[in-house]
Amino acid sequence: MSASLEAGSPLASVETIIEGLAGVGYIASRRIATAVYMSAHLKKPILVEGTAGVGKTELALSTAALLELPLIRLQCYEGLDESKALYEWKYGKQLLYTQILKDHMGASLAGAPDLETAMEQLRGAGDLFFSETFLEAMRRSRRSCWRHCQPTRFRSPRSA
Amino acid sequence: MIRAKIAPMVFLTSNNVRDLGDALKRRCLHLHIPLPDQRLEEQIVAARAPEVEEKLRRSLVAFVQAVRTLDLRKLPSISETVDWARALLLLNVESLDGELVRETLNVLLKFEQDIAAVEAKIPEFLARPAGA
Repeated sequence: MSASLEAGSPLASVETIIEGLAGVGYIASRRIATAVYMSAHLKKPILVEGTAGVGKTELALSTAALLELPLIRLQCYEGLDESKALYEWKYGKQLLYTQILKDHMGASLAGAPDLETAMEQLRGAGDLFFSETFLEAMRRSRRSCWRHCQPTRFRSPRSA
Repeated sequence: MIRAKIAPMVFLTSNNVRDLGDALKRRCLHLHIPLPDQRLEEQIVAARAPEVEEKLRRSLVAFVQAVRTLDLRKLPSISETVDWARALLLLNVESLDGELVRETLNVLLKFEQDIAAVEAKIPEFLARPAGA
């Protein structure tokens, strides 16, 4: 989720955060609301600690609901590292895509007379795993938002 | 290069099972959510289970607060209190009594030894004035 801090935004003050969170069913202490306020304005992540069932995940869910933004949740576990979290996102789907890609490639490269031509065709086919499909944050944010970013080094297979 | 127009808000949640590195902690704002006091927990129950009458709400929260003074394997958290409130609502309960608490204690506590420890204290806890 990303946040707008303009006046009138639910994040405008600690008080508006307390009220806004209550509106989505989360009763936040002043300390909790202050942490959310600081996090949004200082652009720092909040590390929420506390015993199970105390409302840590609920705080993230409720803040997302308050801001009407999607929540992308990454469940962490022993053995999860950044390469898995960032590059193996939807790993099962990635495998399926690989399979489909393989089948299609076989067909479309069959006509290539030699390896060099085949490699050239492959290069031109675009890079599926760096496409919108596997970039969760971009896929979920409003289209207008990311289409305005500069697409240097970013190539979608459809625009290629 | 892909750049976000607005910075995302990031929440990291941890229940202290894993030790987090100093580098990670240094880059974050730290927020510890403690178990709530009677007043805050009543407000939470009112928000999450609004159908529960005020009198029952006050006494069920007071009971949970009393349970938390015991040395248990797993103290009931806010989610257990809300679950219990909803369970009592489902059973059309108007006020707490010993029998009923005994029958529904498994909503609040997840270990047999904790249930046994609390069972012995039910009359005492129910005799306390709510909110004290």
